[in-house]
Order: sequence, then C-alpha cells, then structure tokens
Amino acid sequence: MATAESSSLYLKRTSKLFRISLILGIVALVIGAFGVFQVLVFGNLGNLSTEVPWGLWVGLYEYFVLLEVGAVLSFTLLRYGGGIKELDKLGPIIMLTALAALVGALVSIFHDLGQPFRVWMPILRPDFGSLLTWMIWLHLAYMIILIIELWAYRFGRKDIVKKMAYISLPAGAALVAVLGSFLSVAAARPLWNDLLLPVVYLISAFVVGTGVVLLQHLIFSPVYGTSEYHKLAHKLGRWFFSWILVGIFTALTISLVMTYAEVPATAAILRQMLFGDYAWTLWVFHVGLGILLPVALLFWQEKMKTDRARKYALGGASGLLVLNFLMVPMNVVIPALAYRYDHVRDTLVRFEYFPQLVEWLVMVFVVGLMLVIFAVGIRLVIQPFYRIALQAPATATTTSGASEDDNEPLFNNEEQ
Amino acid sequence: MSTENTNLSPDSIFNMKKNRTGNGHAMPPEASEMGTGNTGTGNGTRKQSGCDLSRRDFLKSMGAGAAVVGVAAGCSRAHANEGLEHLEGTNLVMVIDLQRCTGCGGCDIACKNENNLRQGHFWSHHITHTTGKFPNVRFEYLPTLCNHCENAPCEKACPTSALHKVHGGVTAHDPSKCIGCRACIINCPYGEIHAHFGQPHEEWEDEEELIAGVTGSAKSTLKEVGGERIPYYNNERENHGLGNRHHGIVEKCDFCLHRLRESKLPSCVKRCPTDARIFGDLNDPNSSVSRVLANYRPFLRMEHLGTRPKVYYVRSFNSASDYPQTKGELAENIEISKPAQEKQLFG
Ligand code: SF4
Ligand code: SF4
Repeated sequence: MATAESSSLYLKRTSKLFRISLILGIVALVIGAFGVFQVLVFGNLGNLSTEVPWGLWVGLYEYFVLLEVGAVLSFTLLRYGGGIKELDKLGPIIMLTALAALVGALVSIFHDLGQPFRVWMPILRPDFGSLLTWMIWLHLAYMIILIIELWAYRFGRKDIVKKMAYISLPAGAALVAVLGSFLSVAAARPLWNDLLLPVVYLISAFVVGTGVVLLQHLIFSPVYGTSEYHKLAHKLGRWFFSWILVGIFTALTISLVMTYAEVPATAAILRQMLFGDYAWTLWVFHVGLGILLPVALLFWQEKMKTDRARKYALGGASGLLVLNFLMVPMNVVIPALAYRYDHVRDTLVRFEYFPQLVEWLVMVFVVGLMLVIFAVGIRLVIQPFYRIALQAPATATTTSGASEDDNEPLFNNEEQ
Repeated sequence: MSTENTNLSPDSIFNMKKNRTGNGHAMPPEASEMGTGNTGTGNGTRKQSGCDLSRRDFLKSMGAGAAVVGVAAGCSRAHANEGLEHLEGTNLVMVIDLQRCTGCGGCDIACKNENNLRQGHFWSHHITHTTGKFPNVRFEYLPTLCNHCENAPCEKACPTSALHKVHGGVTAHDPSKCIGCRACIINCPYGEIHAHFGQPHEEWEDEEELIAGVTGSAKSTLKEVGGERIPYYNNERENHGLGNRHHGIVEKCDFCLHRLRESKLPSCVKRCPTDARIFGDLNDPNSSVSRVLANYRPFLRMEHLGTRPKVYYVRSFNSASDYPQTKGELAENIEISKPAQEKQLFG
C-alpha cells in the first residue's frame, strides 16, 4: 500500500521537476523569442531558399511527430498489447509528453510557413487532395484525443482512457503514415520516393516511442526506487532493445537495396548522406551516439550488479537515443533537398544549407514552450491524478456497461 | 492596355473555342502508336466552369466531414476562370523546336520583363550542357519553363488549392491563397516554382555603387529613370494575379494568363525571334502545335514520372550539318579500309 510518506515524496519530486521544467522553459522562451520575432515580424526564414525550401524546422516537426505518436503508440502497445498493467501509472505522463511534442511540432511548422498567419486556410478552406491538408486535420484530431485522454486521467475516468487509447492507435498510425507518405509520394525526390517512409517512420515511431516510455518511467514513475520500478525498467529496456534491432534491420536493408540497385539519382544522394560533407552528423549523432552507444549500454546493463547502475545505463541509453533521433528526420529531409540529380546533365547538383541563428533560436523557443506545457501539465494533471488515484483507488468513476477491467482503479496501489 | 495583335492564324487563340474538337486527341494515330511522347487528352477538356466539379475535385471535397467546405472551395474555381471563358475546352500546349532555337535567351528576358520578375527568378529559363572533347564537342541548350503538367504534382501537394488548373489546362497560382508551405516546390520535379522571400525587387534598394565613384548604384539608377520598385514595371501583369509577388509566397510561369485573357500569346512565344516556341490548342487538329507534333516525335522532360508535361520539345539543338560517311571503326588508331571492313563484316 502506498504510504503517506511515499506519496508526499512523489508529490515533492514532481514539484521539483515542475520547477525545473518551468524555469528552463521560461529561459528558453525568452532566448528563443528573438528568433520568433525575426520570423513573424520581418519574415526572416533563415537559410531556406527555393533550392532548399525545407530545413531545420521541418526536420524538427517530423521529429516531434515521431515523438508524439511514437510515445502513445508504444505505450498503448505495451499496456494493452503487452499487458503490462503497471504502466497505467505512467499513462498521464506519456500523454502529456505527447501533447507537448504535438504543440512543438505545430509551432515549428508554423514558423516554416512563408505566410504563417494564413495557417487557417487549410483548415477552413481545405483541399483534401493534398496530404498536407490531411496532416493538419489529423493533427487536430490527435490533439483532441490527447486532451480528452488527459482530462480522463485527471478525473479518473478509466473507461474513457481506454477508449481513447484504442482510438489513438489508428489515429497515430494514420498520422505517421501520412507524414511518411507526404514525402514518399514526391517523385521529384528519388531518395524519399525509394525510402518507403511510411513504414520506416512507423518503425521509427516505435523505436523512439519505447525509448520515451522507458525514459519517462525512469524519471516520473510514482513507484520510483521500488523493486517494481526496477523490474519494469528492465522489462521496458528489453522491449526498447528489440525495437532498436527492428529499426537497424529496416534501415540496413533499405539502404542496401538502394545501394545495390545503383539508380544514379538515389545512389548519388545516398552516397553523399553516408560519405559527404555532412555525413559526420549521421555517423556521430545518429549512428554513434544515437544507436551504437545505447545498444552498448543496453547490453552492458544486463551484466550490472546494482539496480542503481542499471537505472543509469537504461536512462543513458534511452536519453541518448531519444535526443539523437532528431538526426533521423534531419537526414531524411535535408540531403534529399541539398542534392538534386540533374537529368539533363546527368550529374548531382549541390545546394548549400546549414541552419542560421534565427532557425536555431526558433528551435530553442519551441523546446521552451514544450517545457512550459509540460510543467503546467504536471501541476494540472499529473499531481491531481496521482492524488485522486491515491485517495480513492476503488471509487474511480465508471460508466454503465463498462467491463470489469474498467472498474479497476486507474492504478493499483496495492502493488506498491 | 496594349492593343497589339499577336494572334497566329489558323491556331488563333481567339478561335480556340471554335476550333476545338471537344475531347479530341489531336495527334494522328500513327504518332501515338510510335509512342510519341504524351499528347494527352488535356485537362482543357475537363469541365471547369461554375460549380461543375471534376471527379478529382469532388474526391478532394470529400473527407473528414468537410464536404461542404470542400464544395465551396470547388466553386471558387469558377472565379479562377474569370476572363478565360474563351479557353474552355482547349488544351493549351507549347512546342519548342530546338532546331530553330539559337539559344539567345530572348524568352528569358521577355518573361522577366513581362512578369516583373525579381533578381534570380526565372519563370522561363534554360539548361546548357556541353559534352565531348574539342573539337568534337556537343553543346545543348534546353529552354525550360513550367510544363503545366496534366498530372501536376505541385497542384496535388497544395493544401489550399492556391495551385489549381484553369481552362486550357494551365497550372495557375492564386497568391491570395498561398500559405508559403513550399510543398509545391518540393513536389515539382523540374524546379519550376520559386520561393519569394523578402520584399519585391529588394535588389533595387541597394545603394552600393558597382565601381565606387564611377558607376551609379541600383537605387540611383532607379531614381534616374523614375521607376518605383524597378526601372521598368509592366502593369499589364496585374490583369491576372499580382503585378509583383510579395514575401512568403511562391511564384511560377502561368503561360501569361493576363495575356491569354486578352487572347494574346504568352510573351516568350511572342518575343522568340526564330519562332522556336509555338503555342496553341492541342485539341484542335489543325492548330500549329498539332501539325508540328504530327511531323516530329517530341520528347518531354522526365516523362517517366508520369507528370504528363504540356511543353513538348522537337528536333535537336545541334545543327543538322552532316557528318562524313562512315561505318565506324573498332578502336582508336585502327584504320579499317573499306574492303577490309567489308571482309570482316561479311566473312
Ligand atoms: S512543371 Fe512543376 S510547377 Fe509546372 S505544372 Fe509541372 S509540377 Fe507544377
Ligand atoms: S507554397 Fe503556396 S502554392 Fe505552394 S503548396 Fe503551399 S500553399 Fe500551395
């Protein structure tokens, strides 16, 4: 049974995290505001051009979509597919993370628009023949799902939580599929066209999403430090490792197929990605820090003697992967635009692009905004949820016709 | 408004509507069998006036319970065709005869002047390509512009219908609907859409003298000739779309819709000194474009992508001068006399 001591400890810990997030968030917002001002007032779009029309902001957008959808899909799969009931305690944190990432994605892409204040147009005067329109509408639907789910957590409505979880599965899968298809259908960009991005992105979402679930469990679990905590961390670590293996297999096979075929337009761009001037971003951040080191840590933690050391190894692995995963969309979006195959001259043309200060500043602003949303969410949802769950575990509201499972409390404190 | 008469006979664009075959395919059957490029049945044949939505428009309007909004968007197409009613049912295409083209670049200049294009933006441009080793060198010059693809990926990608088809199958752009997402640039395989970042013609605000103390600056030149934003501004461009584009949107060739409205040929066609650019209705079997395409097998840019371009290229840029009679040789420095070669060939 949860003790008053453990619950007050948890509230204290989340309050501390609330303060850290809020302070860091506000600092980032203040710094990043300069960039936002430049974009919205002076229309400064950094280094973007006709030749490289998308850059850091679109990469960020894709990264946040992968985070937002990946976290929810992985959580739902682990909780309802894998039957890991202990994850119920983590539900609201995951939904909050996803909501913050969703806002981050939308704010990033908002700044990318040449005419940001016309953003209402695809909503009110949409053209559903465009995948971009679908992306916007799916985002809105997804946002509503996440808000309802958070609200249901906040008020202990497990029946709604479960229904929303099931709805979020197809909605999330559709969002990722559209995100990938949107690039993959561009026959003008052979790299995207060959990359099977809807599938690659769906797998990527599971890789990074499982990493987010593990990381959030390690930081935010209400059963922090208990044996249940370590057991669950270990279990999630194994799932995480499995998804990384699936991801590596997918990336390797697709790259090998593209290289083997030697279709000039694709092969030339791929070669640049792997060995060109900016290849170090791929090898250092994505492959080295984002995959090899996490895999090494995941191997290593299996041999570790103490729970504490294992916790740090798992935290390091998931943190590194989640952060460096930004390089996945970056390396999908930018090289395909920076290199264009000229079919008349039969040669690869290169365009320069490296994000300018204003682009980085907007990124800082977006991260700040996400931290503030996260902090506010801790106060408005996480702490009340935890209080409700502690005080009245057996009186969680249910609707008539709800299954037995729905009548269980949102999380079972007996397990503590 | 200019009163110049630039109409060609018999494919006068005045007479396009009268001459059209409706849903005809202007190419002779032999040409099609030869796999002669894509002559297309033409977007121009599709009904686009009023609220008559094409199947694609209708499908676009479906989805997520937004049919009402979608239908409303479809109806706004009627507005897009305002002034272009005489082009209904036509399939406007351009044929570029590379043999006639001298590579003078006059079309590029005409387009820049006609459409008030800013520095660095070319709606009509060219690609040059030199191969071989002196003196056996081949130089190619390929004039390029928006292909007004029948299956236009830019139009499909546009979330607001800012890019849309109008009568004649022309891919038009509505600057007031453009949100500047640049999805169209990403999807155009030909690089024919340009992002307009910054104020129009900022380059003319430059006060730096090209050679200090010797030449004037861009700004002083502008002042001297009494120009507003640019020394020469063509206000006829305002008859369709914007005279000058503004920050954050994209821009592209629209076959000079402001001129087509007045039944005038596009400026690049009008100004081409060698008549290498030929323009007209492919649905009319007697139009010049139909006749040229009946004679020459055209090639289309990146035809394999299925975009079905409406800019056709015929013949080759290189001169038709003949090369010496030869059967070739086996390798460098091996001279095979005619009898020896024959012996080799026939045992
Ligand atoms: S050439 Fe490019 S801009 Fe022109 S219609 Fe085709 S895809 Fe669109
Ligand atoms: S930039 Fe403008 S024209 Fe191009 S896809 Fe976006 S809204 Fe459409």
